[in-house]
Amino acid sequence: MALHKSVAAYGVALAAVATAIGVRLTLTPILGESVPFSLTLVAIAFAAWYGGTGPGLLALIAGEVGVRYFLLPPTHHFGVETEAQTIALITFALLGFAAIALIDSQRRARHRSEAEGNLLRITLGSIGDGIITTDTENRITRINTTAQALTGWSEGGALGRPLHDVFRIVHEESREPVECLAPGAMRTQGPKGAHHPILVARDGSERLIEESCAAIRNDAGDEVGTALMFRDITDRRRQQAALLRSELELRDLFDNASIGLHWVGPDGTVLRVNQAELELLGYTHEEYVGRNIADFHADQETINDILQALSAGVALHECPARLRHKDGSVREVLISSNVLFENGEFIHTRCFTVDVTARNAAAAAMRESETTLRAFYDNSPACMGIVEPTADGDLLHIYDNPASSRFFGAEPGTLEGKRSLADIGVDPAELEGRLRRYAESERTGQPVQFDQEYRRPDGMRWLAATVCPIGVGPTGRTRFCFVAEDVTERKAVEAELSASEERLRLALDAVGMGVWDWDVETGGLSWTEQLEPLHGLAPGTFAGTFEAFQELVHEADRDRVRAAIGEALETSGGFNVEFRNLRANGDIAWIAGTGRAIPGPDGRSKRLIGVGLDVTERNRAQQTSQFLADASAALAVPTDLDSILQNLAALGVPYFADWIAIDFLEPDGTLRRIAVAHVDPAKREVVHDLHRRFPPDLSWPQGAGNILRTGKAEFIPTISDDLLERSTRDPEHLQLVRALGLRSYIGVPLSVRGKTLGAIIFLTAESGHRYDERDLAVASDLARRAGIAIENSQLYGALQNADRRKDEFLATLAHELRNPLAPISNSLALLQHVEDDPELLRQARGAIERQLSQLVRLVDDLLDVSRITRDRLELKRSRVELASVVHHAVEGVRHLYDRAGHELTITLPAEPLVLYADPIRLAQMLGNLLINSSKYTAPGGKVSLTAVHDEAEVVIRVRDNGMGIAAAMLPRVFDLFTQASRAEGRGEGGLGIGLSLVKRLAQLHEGTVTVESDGLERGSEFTVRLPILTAAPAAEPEHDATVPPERGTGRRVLVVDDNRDSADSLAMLLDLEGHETQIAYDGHDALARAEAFRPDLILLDIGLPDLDGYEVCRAIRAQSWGKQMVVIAQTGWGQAEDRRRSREEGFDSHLVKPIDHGALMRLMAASFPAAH
Amino acid sequence: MRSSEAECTVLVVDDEFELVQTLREVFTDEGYHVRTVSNGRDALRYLRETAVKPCLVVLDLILPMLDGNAVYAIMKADPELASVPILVSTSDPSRAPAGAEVMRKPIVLDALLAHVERYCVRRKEPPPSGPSEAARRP
Repeated sequence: MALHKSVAAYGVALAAVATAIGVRLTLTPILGESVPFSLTLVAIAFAAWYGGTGPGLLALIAGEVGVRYFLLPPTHHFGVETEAQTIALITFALLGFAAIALIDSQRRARHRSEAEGNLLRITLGSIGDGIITTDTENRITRINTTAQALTGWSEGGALGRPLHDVFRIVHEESREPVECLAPGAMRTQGPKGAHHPILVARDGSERLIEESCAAIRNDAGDEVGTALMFRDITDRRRQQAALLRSELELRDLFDNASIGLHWVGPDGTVLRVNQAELELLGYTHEEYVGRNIADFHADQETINDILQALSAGVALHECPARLRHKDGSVREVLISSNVLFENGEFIHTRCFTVDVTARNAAAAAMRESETTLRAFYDNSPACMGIVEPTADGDLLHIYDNPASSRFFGAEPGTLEGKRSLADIGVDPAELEGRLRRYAESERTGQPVQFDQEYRRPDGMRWLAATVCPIGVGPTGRTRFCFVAEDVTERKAVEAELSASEERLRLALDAVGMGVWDWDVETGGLSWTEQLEPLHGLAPGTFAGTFEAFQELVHEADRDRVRAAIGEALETSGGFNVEFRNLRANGDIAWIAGTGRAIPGPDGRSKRLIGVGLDVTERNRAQQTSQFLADASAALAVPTDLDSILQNLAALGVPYFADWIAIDFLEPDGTLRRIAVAHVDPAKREVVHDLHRRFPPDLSWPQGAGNILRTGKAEFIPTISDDLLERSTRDPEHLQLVRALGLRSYIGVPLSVRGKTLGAIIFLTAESGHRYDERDLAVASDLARRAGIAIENSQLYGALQNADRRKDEFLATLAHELRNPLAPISNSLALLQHVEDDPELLRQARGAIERQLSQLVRLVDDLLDVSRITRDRLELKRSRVELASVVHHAVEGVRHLYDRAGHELTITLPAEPLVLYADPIRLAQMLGNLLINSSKYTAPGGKVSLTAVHDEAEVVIRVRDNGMGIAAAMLPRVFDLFTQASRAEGRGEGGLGIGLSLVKRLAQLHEGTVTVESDGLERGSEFTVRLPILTAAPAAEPEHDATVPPERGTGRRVLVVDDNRDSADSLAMLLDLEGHETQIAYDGHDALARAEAFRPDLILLDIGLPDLDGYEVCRAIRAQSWGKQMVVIAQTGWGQAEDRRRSREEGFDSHLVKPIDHGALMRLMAASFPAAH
Repeated sequence: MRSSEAECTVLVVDDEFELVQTLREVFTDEGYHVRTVSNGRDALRYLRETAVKPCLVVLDLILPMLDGNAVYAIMKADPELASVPILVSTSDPSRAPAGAEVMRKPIVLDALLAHVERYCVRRKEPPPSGPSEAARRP
């Protein structure tokens, strides 16, 4: 720069010369050759002023040269021509030199002055303080950059201004403007310490400053101005405050640190100590500082070692030491220390003392506690540990106590780090269950208890475990502690208990029984769940007090129950009471309460415990059973219909029904209410009244009428109001029926001999009982028994009647049998005396024959009676012509009519009437009617027999004008052994069989017989109706009952019968017929004679004493000679079954005793056709 | 007292009020306890419900609500009651159950008391001096 400047100065010098010469040249025309040097001299002076000596000299030389060359003649020539020229040149040079010298010295002085001013300015500018100088007028003469910055005024703006314009200051606290300091003055210190003014800059910003003022004096010592110096101390202030604070804090820290602190000098003297250490050792500051640290140590060796180490520059860290407390006790401390060295010189130690007495004690306690805890862990029978569920669903064992390890089959301490699935081999399902519990515990943050079954080699074990999250492990997964107890045995006991309870519960359920327990003192009544349904309560609705229980007892039973319980409490004894429980639906349950009072220590009853049992069914069954038993016994009593049914109704109430009504069908088709039973006699009257006022309509679809129609039972478990409405006639009827409170209904038919003759109506009301199927069965059974009882009673009545008639019959029979005997006896006596008188003989024989025939008829009738009573009467039916039958019948009775002088008129239709009938029985039937009419008609009376064809029937009427029949007698005319009373002195005797036989025979022929009479003495008329065969007479020849027996043609006949008279007489008869006969009286004899005699025909009795007829027959048939013999059975048994049997045994024919001689002859004729 | 009552209570079953009243007084005077019912059903109910059975039942045959024959048959069929002695009193002995002891009506008191004495024991204490038990009862 300087070089550039000087070069530039030389350039400026040359340029100035050149310019001056140039200007003189341009002026030459004016000036000519005068004053050629003056301009150049000016240029030289300028060059010297500007550039100093060097450029001045250059300009002088250049001017000399230039002037000679350009201005002096000869111009453009360097040679000096004249002396003048030479003198001019020299003068010029001298003048030049002088000017240069002068100007240069001025220039130098100027430069120095400039340099000094610059220096001052630079110095002022470089000073960090603001400096402002003023003149005596207090106007600013200088202001340095710092002052500019601080005041915000530029130099140009500030110079010349009054100081207080630029330098505005206010008091630090009061903000009052402050006067500038007088030179040399100082700010006084206020009570709050040094106050500094605040400089308010031009832009209003404020700075705390420190200021000083000095007078400026000239060399003469006169004051020419003042210099104001100030500096911004805002930062310093801040730093000072910070430093102060830091120091205060450090001291505070030192003094108040909870850790003990002390400084020790090189000689062991305590230099400084803090409060914590003083408190630690119980000394005051004065007692501690200044003493040797070793005085406070309990172990001198330790402090010596410490000091030695510290002196060697070793820093101590937590060196255990024992300090002595002022009270003599020893404190265990840890000392950490180092030494502050400065320039290798030991300044002081810095020691930190930590009291570890408590900590050590705590550590010892901790160790003790840990030992205890460890012992607890190790010896606890419970499994304990810490686990952590892993991300892959396993369970990591962090810690396990020995019990836990042993439980998992591991040595103590070997489970840590093992995983349940991967290492221990726990069943995955088991683990899953456990992990769920852990998850639950983690979710809720609460301990979770659970029972879990574990599979172990020795079997399944139950653990009751509690798990609880204890925080997160290093893996970031939650860890859990667990405590678990092996409760397998307890579980087994519990299971047994539970099973036992379950058994008890099932047993209680099974019998409908519940247990209750009443605490007399608290009044609380607990009971098992079974009791609620037992008492008709919904589960869980029982209030659990004795009062609540009492509410459940039927009002009518409440006092009784209370009394029973009260007595039990008083005597501390047992009680057994049955009571009713009214259900919401109106049902009534019977409950048996059985219990016992339990006395407390004072002997007073404090608990009542017992069971409740639903005995509704049992009671019902017992009552029903009792009812059936009673009814059976009562129904077995032979009595009349009404008594039977009334007894039955009485017995059924109230055990089976609240109402029983029994209706019975009368012969005229109306219903008679035989019995009504109700517990309450008043209600019984109501029902009777109801029945009278509203007799049941038999056409109703329900009730007795329906039962009678269908013969089927009716059963309505629940009687609805709707049903009542439908079953009643009008609102009044409905109201009356409603008032009965009917609930359930069973109606059963009362059947006698298969005919429904009545209905038994069972109804429940007050009892609340609802009939079920069992009740229906009972009712039906009962009705059946009642039907049988009625049947029995009727049979019994019939039997009694029959018995009476049989007595009469026997009396009659004796009489009737006796009657013929006298004439026979007389005739026989006569025969002995009148052997020679043929007429007398004839009369006697005639009498005997007549009487005998009478006897035979009597006996025949008796046999018929037997057949009728045994229902063994059979027909041998064929086509018969009515006329011939009538003819035979009339023939059979002719002698009676002849004797009595009755007029008998027979009227038959002209055309033949063919019947399919047994001709003999048909003749017997008509004969009996004719005999009957004859018997009850006075001698000379009239009897007529007429037969007419009436469509498919023949109607035969036998009419007489005899004594007639009383109306009361009419229904019994056809009964067996019935006769018009002998007391009336009428009739012809007889056994009272005839008309019964007529009726029976008519029935067997699908016909009927009826009787009419207009009353006594008005005659009577019997009408027989029989079906006739409308088809033309068949090819089958008519059986002629009167075919005379053909004469035998001398057969050999063996008669076998153990009845000797019968055998002998029959043999004699056959002998008379011209046959050769032999007789055998028993089976063996029969066989022997058969073999010896070889008869053509054997008449063999079946009932023989040794071999019976069948055996004899078989034996004969077994022989070669016996195969062709005709063997005919003669027996009293003539039924189809008997005939079949005899045929199977080998008999050719079967004759029923007494053997009809004609029939035998015909049979013989048929058996030996060759004989014809 | 109860045991003696068992031995000396006569149950009279009859619907004839006058007769029943008479018998009650007579039996009471003779030192027996008397219970009376007027129909067969009540008789049966009393016999079933009483713990101590009477020493004798005097039973009419024609009774409302269960006749005497039925009562007799039911008692004989019931093991509990079969051994209770029964005297049937009837005007028509032919209607009496077979095998029953029968007292023909009209009753001859001496004969009846003789019968009762065979089955029943008199009360130990004399009859009350005041109104008789029968009179006190409604």
